[in-house]
Amino acid sequence: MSTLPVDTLRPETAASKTQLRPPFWTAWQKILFRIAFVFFVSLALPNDPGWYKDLFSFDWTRLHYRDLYDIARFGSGLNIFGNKIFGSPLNATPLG
Amino acid sequence: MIFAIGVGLVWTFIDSRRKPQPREYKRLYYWLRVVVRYRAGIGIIGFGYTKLFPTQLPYPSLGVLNTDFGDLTLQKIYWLSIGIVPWYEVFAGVVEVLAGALLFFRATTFWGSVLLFGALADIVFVNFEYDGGVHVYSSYFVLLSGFLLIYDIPKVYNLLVREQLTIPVHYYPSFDKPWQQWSRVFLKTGVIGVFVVWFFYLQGVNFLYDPINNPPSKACRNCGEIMK
Repeated sequence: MSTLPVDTLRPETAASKTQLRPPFWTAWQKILFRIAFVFFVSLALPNDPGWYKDLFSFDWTRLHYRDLYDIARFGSGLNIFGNKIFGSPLNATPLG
Repeated sequence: MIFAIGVGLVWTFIDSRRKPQPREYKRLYYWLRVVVRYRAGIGIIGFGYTKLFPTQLPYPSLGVLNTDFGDLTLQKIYWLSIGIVPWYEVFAGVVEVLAGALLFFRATTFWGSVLLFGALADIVFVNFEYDGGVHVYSSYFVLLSGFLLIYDIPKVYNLLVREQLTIPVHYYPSFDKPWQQWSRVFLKTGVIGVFVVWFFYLQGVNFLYDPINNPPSKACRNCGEIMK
């Protein structure tokens, strides 16, 4: 009995140990994360100078709902490569 | 996406030269989720309030009611059929604002992204069906909430499908220094204060008192005043 490893005697502790300390990321997880990081940062952070200009030019003492609406609602992403895929812009005129 | 793959691969190459090699990006992943959570939360609240105070999809005007049905665009038909049921629109607004507000807190992010994913996926369908005009922007929220969901999906699968004991492990960076705590509280309260509380007030004022509830552009935001 004494030769058995502790983990086989008490499987629940072994299980809880692996739960508490998840293994390090695998190589493909890291590659995927690097791509996702660049992708979502360029998608989620406002990268249009006009957005920052708006943010600082609002009259914050007499704010209109449209001001907040406009800074909450902006398109981002990278347009330096153009916004067409196979010659089609994919989006119609934005409304509302 | 192509750009991201390119940069990601370059980053991989640079990392392969680093000693010691980074084993994981827990902290960076945490901050990426913060960025995406707040982006999606603020963005959807912007829309949510225009539905909560039903202005985004307005009640049909006299002019529209006198138009031949065949002359209305698909988008118009859909928007007006929502517009005649203001309480439904209010409900949609509640869903969107709630989803956004839940995204502001780490403990409720999962529920917020479930709600956002479900609600916005429907809006994507509607946009493609009725040519609603915000195909890309609504898909954008589905993408962001999907990304937020990925973090918890393995745990949910483990618990509900495999029926195993699941202890969720979350990584939270420690904010030891006072300035870190202060800036965290300041930024978080600021965002919630401005986009949940103040925005609610502004939107309410606009709904109750402004003759033009939904100004077509920034330039026209004071048109209501001029009309008075």
